[in-house]
Amino acid sequence: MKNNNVITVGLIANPNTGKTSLLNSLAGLNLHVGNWSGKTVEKKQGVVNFQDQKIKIVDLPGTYSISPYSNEEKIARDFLLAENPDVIVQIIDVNSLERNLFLTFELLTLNKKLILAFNFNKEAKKKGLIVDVKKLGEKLELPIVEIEANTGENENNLLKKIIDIHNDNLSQPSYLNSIIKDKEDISHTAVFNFVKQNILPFYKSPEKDVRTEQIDSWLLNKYTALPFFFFFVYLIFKTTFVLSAPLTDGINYIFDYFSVLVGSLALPAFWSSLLVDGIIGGVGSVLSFTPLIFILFLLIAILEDSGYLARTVIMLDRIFHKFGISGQTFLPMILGFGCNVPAIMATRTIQHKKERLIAIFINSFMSCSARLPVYVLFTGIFFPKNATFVIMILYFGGVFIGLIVSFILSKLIKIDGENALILELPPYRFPSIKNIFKHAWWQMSMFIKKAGTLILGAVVFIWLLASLPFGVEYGSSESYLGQIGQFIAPIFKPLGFGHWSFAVALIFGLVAKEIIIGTLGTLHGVTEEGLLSVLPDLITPLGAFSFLVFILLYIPCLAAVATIKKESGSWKFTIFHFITVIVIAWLVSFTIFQTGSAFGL
Amino acid sequence: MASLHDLPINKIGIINKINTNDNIRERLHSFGLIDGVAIKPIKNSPLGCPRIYRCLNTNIAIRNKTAKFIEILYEK
Repeated sequence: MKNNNVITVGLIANPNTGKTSLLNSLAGLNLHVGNWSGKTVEKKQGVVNFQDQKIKIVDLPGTYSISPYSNEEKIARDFLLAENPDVIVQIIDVNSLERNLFLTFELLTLNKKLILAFNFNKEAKKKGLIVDVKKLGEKLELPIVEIEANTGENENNLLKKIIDIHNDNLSQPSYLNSIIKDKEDISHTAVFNFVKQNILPFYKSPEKDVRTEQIDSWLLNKYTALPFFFFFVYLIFKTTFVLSAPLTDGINYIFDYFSVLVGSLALPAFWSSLLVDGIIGGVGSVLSFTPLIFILFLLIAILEDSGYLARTVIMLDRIFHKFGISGQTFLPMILGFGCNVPAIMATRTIQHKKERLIAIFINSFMSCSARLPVYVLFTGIFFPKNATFVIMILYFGGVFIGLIVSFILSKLIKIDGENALILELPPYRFPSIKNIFKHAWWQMSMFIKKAGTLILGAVVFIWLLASLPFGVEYGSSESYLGQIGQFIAPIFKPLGFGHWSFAVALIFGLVAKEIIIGTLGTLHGVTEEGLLSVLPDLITPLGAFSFLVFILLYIPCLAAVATIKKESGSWKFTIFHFITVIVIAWLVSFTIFQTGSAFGL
Repeated sequence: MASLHDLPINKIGIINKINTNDNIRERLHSFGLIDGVAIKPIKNSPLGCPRIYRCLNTNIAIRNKTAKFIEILYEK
């Protein structure tokens, strides 16, 4: 039974119409984010109190069509049919009203109460659009509210209209039967004619979007597009690392302080070690990523909301297409250089299922920032003159392997069709500061939630292996972990890093890659600086390079594995990924070390 | 019969028939690319594919291999 006290509103729109802005400004911090049951698509909803009336707003995924014949995500249609919202609000970018109306007419076939919220009205007027909203409302026989989602203007009018419409009886527009092809679908030709006769007399759009074309003439120019593009990518990374470094240091400082504090308590060694090495160390290393994730997502949100992101997709599509994927995979790849966890989350922008799985898979080959300290330490020791060059080879090597694996996977994964990449290039717009901050905040809190559960469990498990049996020194060769290390070390011998401490470090590296350095230090009883003299006795420069390649290619970290499970929705895929990347890492490192050895390196 | 791919930049064509598979046709429809609608290529992307078209007041990128299956009418 329906709760009569709450009005349920389904919020639906084409992409790029400002739906998220409206949702954020309506629901504010009351927004609850979960998943659609059984799906990996985010479900956002929030409750608004307006004039003593509770209004529950459910955000539906942005979609161009809810026709049962379209291959778009079916969630919107399923929700509208099954959960039966009291009112549907469609947000419409008034700049592209004609195209938006196709969805409007599809919504009408559902026999639900519908309100149209026209957005970007001010922008449209500035661009020279002439629209008679009153007449359009009469012709469409639908209530229309003009809003400005970015500033929250006219929000109350919309809420008021929702209550009014909810209390009214449902009235079908008189023209509805003339545009329906069969029970469930509209006739596109009939809609086209209806719009031509009834809408266009009251809607004069400017022939082109001058500002957007001007900006595109630089950002999509044959000669300047790529320089601009690489400049922006550089800017994103530079800004991310510069801004997050002091925050990361701060978090590390706090956790170090806790470690010292707990260490100074007179706790039994076992408990002290669990708290310091296990929990504080593990959670601290994960939390130290949060500034990075926050800032990276902030900048990506700016890219996305400004309209530039869609341009990067088409810029690289031609190259990516040759590897069986589309330009849409590019953004997650770039994000992976920051952290694979949000990057894998960002594959949500890819609607095509097969391509999304490939994008998730190859993301683990993108060198995340946690791998960088390991690269820096090893190249500093073994390739002091060419450190930067070797690190660059690792970064590009990851991308290269990623593309090869995409190509193979695109032949292997048996899901019909390929991503045809028909992509809207939205007009350039100034992003709303409030929105991008909220967005980044959400992403960060999702990450922290995971750090609190799965990662903590994994950390404690590895800590146990490193501490048991009772009485052994933490992480020493006598501990279970040390024994496992000695047991698997022979596997790595043909790869050039057969000493057991590397095997143990790789296991610790599952928790977080930067732990690898600390682990090697602990195992050899030296500080980071001490490794400078210890490591050259254990491996050759070639072995060191092979070790770095292995670190690049095997499992990014357990947080990434958990994210792969969550985003792919499949244990089978997650395990397939887990095993395959280890095999790939082994094969590539093996080839490098054996070939190099054959050449006497 | 000319295809959308043949249409020169800034020349307006009218969509006559979409000969892609059903999935892609449905997606094109939902973007407003239906028979009778005017469409105009406005720009090549930096690597030449996809091209950018203006249709119903929106800029849309379509790969050349898809555009070849969209029949259009235009004055040469």
